[in-house]
Amino acid sequence: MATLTVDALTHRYGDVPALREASFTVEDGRVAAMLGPSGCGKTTVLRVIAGLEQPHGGDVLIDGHSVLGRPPHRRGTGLMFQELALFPHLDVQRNIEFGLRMAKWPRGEREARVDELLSLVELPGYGERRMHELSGGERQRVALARTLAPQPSVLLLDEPLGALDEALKQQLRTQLRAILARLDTTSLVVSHDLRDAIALADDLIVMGEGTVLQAGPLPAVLARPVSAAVATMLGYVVLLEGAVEAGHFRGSGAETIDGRTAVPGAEDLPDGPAQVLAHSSSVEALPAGSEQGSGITGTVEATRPDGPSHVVAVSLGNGRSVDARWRSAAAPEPGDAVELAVQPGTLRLYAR
Amino acid sequence: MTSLTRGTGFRRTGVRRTGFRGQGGGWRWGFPALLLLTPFLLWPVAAMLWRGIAPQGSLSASVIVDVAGDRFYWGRLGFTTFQALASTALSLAAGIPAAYVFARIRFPGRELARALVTAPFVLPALVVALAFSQLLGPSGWVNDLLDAVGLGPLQALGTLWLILLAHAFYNVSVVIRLVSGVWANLDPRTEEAAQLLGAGRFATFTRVTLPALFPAIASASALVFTFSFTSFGVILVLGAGGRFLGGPLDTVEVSIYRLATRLVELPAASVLALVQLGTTLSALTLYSALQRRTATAIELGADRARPLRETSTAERVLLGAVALVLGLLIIAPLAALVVGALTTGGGGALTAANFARLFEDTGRISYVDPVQAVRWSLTFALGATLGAAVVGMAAATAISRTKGPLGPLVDGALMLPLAVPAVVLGFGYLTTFNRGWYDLRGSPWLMLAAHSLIAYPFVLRAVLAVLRGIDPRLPEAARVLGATPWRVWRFVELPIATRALLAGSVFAFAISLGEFGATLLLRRREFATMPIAIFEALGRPGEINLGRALAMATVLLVVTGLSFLAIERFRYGEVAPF
Repeated sequence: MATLTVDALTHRYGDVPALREASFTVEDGRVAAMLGPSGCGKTTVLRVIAGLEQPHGGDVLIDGHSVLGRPPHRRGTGLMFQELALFPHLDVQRNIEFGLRMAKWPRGEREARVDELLSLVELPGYGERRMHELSGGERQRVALARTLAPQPSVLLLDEPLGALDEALKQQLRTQLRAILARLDTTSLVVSHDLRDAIALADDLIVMGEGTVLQAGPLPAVLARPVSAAVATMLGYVVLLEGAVEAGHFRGSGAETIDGRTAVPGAEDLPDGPAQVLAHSSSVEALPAGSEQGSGITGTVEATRPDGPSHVVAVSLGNGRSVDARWRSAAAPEPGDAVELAVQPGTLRLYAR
Repeated sequence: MTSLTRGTGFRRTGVRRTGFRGQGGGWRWGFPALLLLTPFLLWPVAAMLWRGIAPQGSLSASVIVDVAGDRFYWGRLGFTTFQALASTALSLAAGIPAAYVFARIRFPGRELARALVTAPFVLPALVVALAFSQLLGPSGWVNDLLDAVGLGPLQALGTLWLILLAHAFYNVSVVIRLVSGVWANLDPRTEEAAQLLGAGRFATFTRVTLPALFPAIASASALVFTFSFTSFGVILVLGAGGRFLGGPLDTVEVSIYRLATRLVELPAASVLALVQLGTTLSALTLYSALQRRTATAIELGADRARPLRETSTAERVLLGAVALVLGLLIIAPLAALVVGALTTGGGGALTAANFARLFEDTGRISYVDPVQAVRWSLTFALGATLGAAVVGMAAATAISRTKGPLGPLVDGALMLPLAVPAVVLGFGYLTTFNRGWYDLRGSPWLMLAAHSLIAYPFVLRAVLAVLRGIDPRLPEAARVLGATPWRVWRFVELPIATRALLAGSVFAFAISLGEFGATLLLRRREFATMPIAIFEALGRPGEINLGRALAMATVLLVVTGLSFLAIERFRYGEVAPF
């Protein structure tokens, strides 16, 4: 068990910066998800922690001690590669026990451990299969078992649900959540998919352009993104553009908030351009003139059925468009005027 | 087997990964090769070249001026270059259609045929030379046939034609291997796209297919040119007594041998060796530069790239023509050799008399105990194979672990033995290991060093191809799982490369069995090998000695052939040592 601290990590590939002073901590036994667009340096963080890259600056500490001086084979970290990197010349059994052989476990204990792991990842009896005999999901689970086998103090998973189809991904996500919960090992899971993070993690680390934009307990980060950029990554959409003037938000287009929905936080912002975001799940479209609306009006561009209800693409003027849920039985026609309703308390205001 | 996907972030930015793989201390793996290269290649070759540019111990251009002013040497250089170019052209003419057949046409016995056309490359030069003189010599099959229809006789022995045919015999397999591998991997959709865009068959070939094949054809040409330029055994036997444009049929390599055995002419031989080295180095540099360009096109498992189409009539005709040409070029001479060994003079009946004669007249000057010759050949070949396997595997690891600008440099340095022709190497040994405690001229160990040195690049190339194909994440995964750099090699890289190592080793074995150039200069009656026994018998006149040579050549052919079958067992995809 261990606390992982990454302190002001900086790294470059040639002249291209990959990390710029990235810092975060994963407390002992917590599962942290690292979210960010591809190319933002997530994989580099894992490679540096595992010792596969030597950073140009900053430090990696496990339980308060710097591990940068230790070669990869003496760090006690376990890394599951996005590409899995299973050994093609070994069968499942030997892949999983590779780390145990390196640690010189006696044969009996090795075999017991492999059996234990095979049942953990729900592949009992797969020991003698070769890599080319496995399906994508099976390979993913063998790679996970191989990473877990030597009982690493810190578990690093790079897109563990990466290249799978949607149904398989769902199933494996559930399995992985159960396994991580049972292990109680400090874990860092890299993903570009918010759903993975929500399903697996206690904490959320949001990365962008080589640095940590926000880190904290998952519910807190999801509820209070610190910037419009983070909010966008977490599923928020821009509703209004405008400006803050003397503690009040004033929309710049035809659409305004007519007082029925207050924008919280405006009084804390300095005067200047600002935008209002709302989480996409909390935006609803109602017939124009409805009493429950927010006063934000727009025109229907298109509708598409989604389960029993509909999702309506609403044009808000000045080129902006948002998706909103439509709960009435009859879907609106393109061109119809609608009014948006937003759950109270879910509007977020950010200076631009 | 290996994953072809790359880390997304790195692919996007187009930046090469730095870090881990360079940390393995790659240079340390070059150590075994350095231990072999420094005393047994660099020192003797440098000492020999020094003799050419400093005949009296200080730098002087006198010998160079002498050689440069001698029209005889210019003649040799001209002949060598001309025959090498002609051999290359002939090999390409026979090899490119065959490459198409192997890349694109499905026919029964394809695998067997592929093995058969690859075999000639490892056959000993003396065996091949004897085989062609049996086929086309004054009493060969072809002349018998011409005689029967009232034509001939055909004077082939001692002409350039016979030499070119023997070189084509060797090198057609090089062309087929290098070109068909790339051809089979060309995405057929690019050709289909060209046709949909309005290109006819000819335009598609010249504008799409040929440009894609060009690096492969060019690198094959560079390699064939090098082999033909430094050809020795074939020329020595088939060119004997022949004339071409007023000079003997001697290549630069043969001239070096003749000068080196007449001890007074050593400085002149050194200058020729310098010319020889300059040429091979340039051609091989060109070869590796071109190989790097084709490397991107080649993936393991060539044949799986696409389903082979229905065969058209034109392709059937081509298949027949290629089968006929390759059959005549490859099978006929070998058959003539074996039949020659199994018959005597007048009679057509099969007999083992020629083999029995190997054991007769033990007092004759050319006598080499055949059992001893086989024993010494196998001893040197086994020893050289072991040395080549160790040095070649380590050197391949060194190259694969050296990243960055140093990489090609290390690669080039470790491939040097390929650039030093065998006669030049043997000559270097004779002029270096000749005094004091390092007078090793009568030692079989010197022979073993020469054979190991000549053989290891073949192991290196076979193994390197596989090591370079290993997904870089595999060693990384092993590191993170607790493996030291040494154990990464032991438990990941070595097991994955084992088959290539075995294939390369058998190749090295065959190369050592047939080695003739260096062996001839270092030969001793006490440890004469099979090629030496053949050469000694050939050097004596008469039917009986020729019979002995044929018998010994057949033994050598069989031993080499058997080891070649072993290569085919280990070989997979297009992994081959060149």
